[in-house]
Amino acid sequence: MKTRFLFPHRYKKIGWVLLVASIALIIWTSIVGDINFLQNVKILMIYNSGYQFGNHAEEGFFKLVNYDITFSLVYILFIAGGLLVAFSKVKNEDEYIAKIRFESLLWAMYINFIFLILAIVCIWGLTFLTIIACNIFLIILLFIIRFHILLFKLKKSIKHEK
Amino acid sequence: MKNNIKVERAIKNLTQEELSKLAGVSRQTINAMELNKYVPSTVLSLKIARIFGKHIEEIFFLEKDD
Repeated sequence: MKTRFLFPHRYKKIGWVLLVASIALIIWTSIVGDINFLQNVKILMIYNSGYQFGNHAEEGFFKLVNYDITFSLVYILFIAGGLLVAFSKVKNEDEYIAKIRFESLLWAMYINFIFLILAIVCIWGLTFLTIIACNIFLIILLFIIRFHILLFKLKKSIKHEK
Repeated sequence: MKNNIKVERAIKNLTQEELSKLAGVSRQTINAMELNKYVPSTVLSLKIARIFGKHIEEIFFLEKDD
């Protein structure tokens, strides 16, 4: 089927690798400890407002500074991997799969914003900021889970039919 | 919309797998159409009609509430 905006099927595996790498990285840093060569990387900041994830750097535009990029790396790996897993074609992508894809995306969108509204109403303080940070990833994660559960169910259901 | 793909498939002696390959879709799609869980696109309906060598209206029917 001709599709716009979907990656070829082979990118899905790359996506899983990136996704697992990002999760491994965050588990590693929280259990084993910080990774030294990521903690002091010289980067060019386009803009820095002063404080982020325990890092301190001078405020302002276009500054070359040493910075801990562990979390940036986790974020980028997760987003890139998540997008590739979510939006690579499945092996037999066709119009019915496209419909399931669309409905899963809609479902993920709704659940994501229900969570966000609940967080806005119920949670206050710094934890709220943490939740907003997690919310960025939640939508993609929800979609991946929902879509693959539905595909798995479909596969299972046709095993009984002839 | 309803269809009699299952009947036509039996007449032609095709499995879901074989029909799905002929139509260029997944087996899940054929299965979902036979169970009336999925309304196919015009392109797919025309393809299936051509595979069975029939007019599209002989395979797909509108229902009352369509």
